[in-house]
Amino acid sequence: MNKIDALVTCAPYSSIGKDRTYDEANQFLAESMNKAPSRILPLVRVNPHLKENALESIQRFVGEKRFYGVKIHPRNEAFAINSEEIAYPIAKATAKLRVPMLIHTGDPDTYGFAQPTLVGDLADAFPNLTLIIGHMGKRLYEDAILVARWFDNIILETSFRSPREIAYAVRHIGADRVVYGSDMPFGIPEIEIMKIHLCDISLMEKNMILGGNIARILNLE
Amino acid sequence: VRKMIDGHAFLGKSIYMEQSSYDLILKMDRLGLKATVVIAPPPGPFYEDANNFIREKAIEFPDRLIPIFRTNPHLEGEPERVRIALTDQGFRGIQLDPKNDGYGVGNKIMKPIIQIAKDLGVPVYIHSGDSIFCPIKAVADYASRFEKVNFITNFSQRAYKVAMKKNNLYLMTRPFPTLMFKRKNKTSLDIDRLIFTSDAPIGSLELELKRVELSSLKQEAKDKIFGGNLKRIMEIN
Repeated sequence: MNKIDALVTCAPYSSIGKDRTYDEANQFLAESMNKAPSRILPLVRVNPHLKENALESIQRFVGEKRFYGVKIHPRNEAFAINSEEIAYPIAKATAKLRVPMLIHTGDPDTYGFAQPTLVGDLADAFPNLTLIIGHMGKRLYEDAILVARWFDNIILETSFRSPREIAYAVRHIGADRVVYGSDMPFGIPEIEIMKIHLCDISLMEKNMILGGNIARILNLE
Repeated sequence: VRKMIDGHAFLGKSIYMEQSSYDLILKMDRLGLKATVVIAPPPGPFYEDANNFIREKAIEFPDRLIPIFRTNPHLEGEPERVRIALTDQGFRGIQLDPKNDGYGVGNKIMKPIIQIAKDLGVPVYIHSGDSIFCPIKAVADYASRFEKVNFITNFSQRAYKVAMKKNNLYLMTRPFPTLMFKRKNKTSLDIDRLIFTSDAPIGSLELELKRVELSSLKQEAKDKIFGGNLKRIMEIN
């Protein structure tokens, strides 16, 4: 119990370069993946405001270096999740490469840019793109669950949510659309894993959340 | 020997939650808790039946359950009910929930009730943090108007910064600040002002205990957080 076979990871905000790109941090992840390819499963983090760089990064790190998806952070980078001008080109490029997109969501700080319901617009516009709602909307978890009920291509990630809330999500959208996350080092893996084990759901559902689902989404062998 | 006290859990049934005394005490026994502070669950506006249930269970398990009277200051005659609860019915403190019952912290309807808490020397639990009705700053300001009353409110990093300037403001630990202990704030956290709480069944007692375990606290600190501080302000043995 509590042993982690692999982790999906991405660059933190603190690694942003002076040019406001994540080029160096993404390259660091590429090197890390090469050292432990079965355990480090990176997502390329992009700043969608820098469209050219973002699209080039997605092509380079996902298309060529085989990263497993794309991460965007609407609060850190200050854009609305459903911005047609800023977010849609990133979603389009991600969908084209058939990998998922992880989106930070949370309380409506920063003018509500990161509200989970906004993911619904992306899910509607890009029905073939798998969208992972990070932190399940934090305190807006009921909104996250609601929008996930509307769109089958939305997945919920569990970090910082309680066992009751995770079980609630499973009851409403099914265990196959909930994935475990720790948000380490901001979250504590021992605690976040324990939450899944404490959920009032079946052992099979727990196993799906703790790895089965993300393996399916990322096409892991 | 069981020594730990959970400073805040719900007991009873509402549309939000259900926790029986049987389930609670079974869990306390399994996890090594001596006693739990029990409070009626929201929503209101009327808590008479829920408080009576708390009272009955506290009589049934006098060494294990510490009853707190949940009060809605909007209700006519509530100060008198609070007084009777504290003097004749065994309640050891009161709970105010501005968010659920719809009033801002500092509203004049609170004053007669806080005055009773002051007269009788009992602590006041006051919900804070996640509503415009009860920001932590308002709770801290209110606490400074009643310096002889001990207030117990919700933890957050922001709450911690505000509360530590008020000597009569204590913080419930859920979710326990494991990383604050392990990282930069280790030396600045005032152990004497923290009260271990689970918020069960909304929160998880198992998780909170695990969070404490991972924080690598010394036993002396644990003793204070797990009951020492609460015993001091409730004047219980």
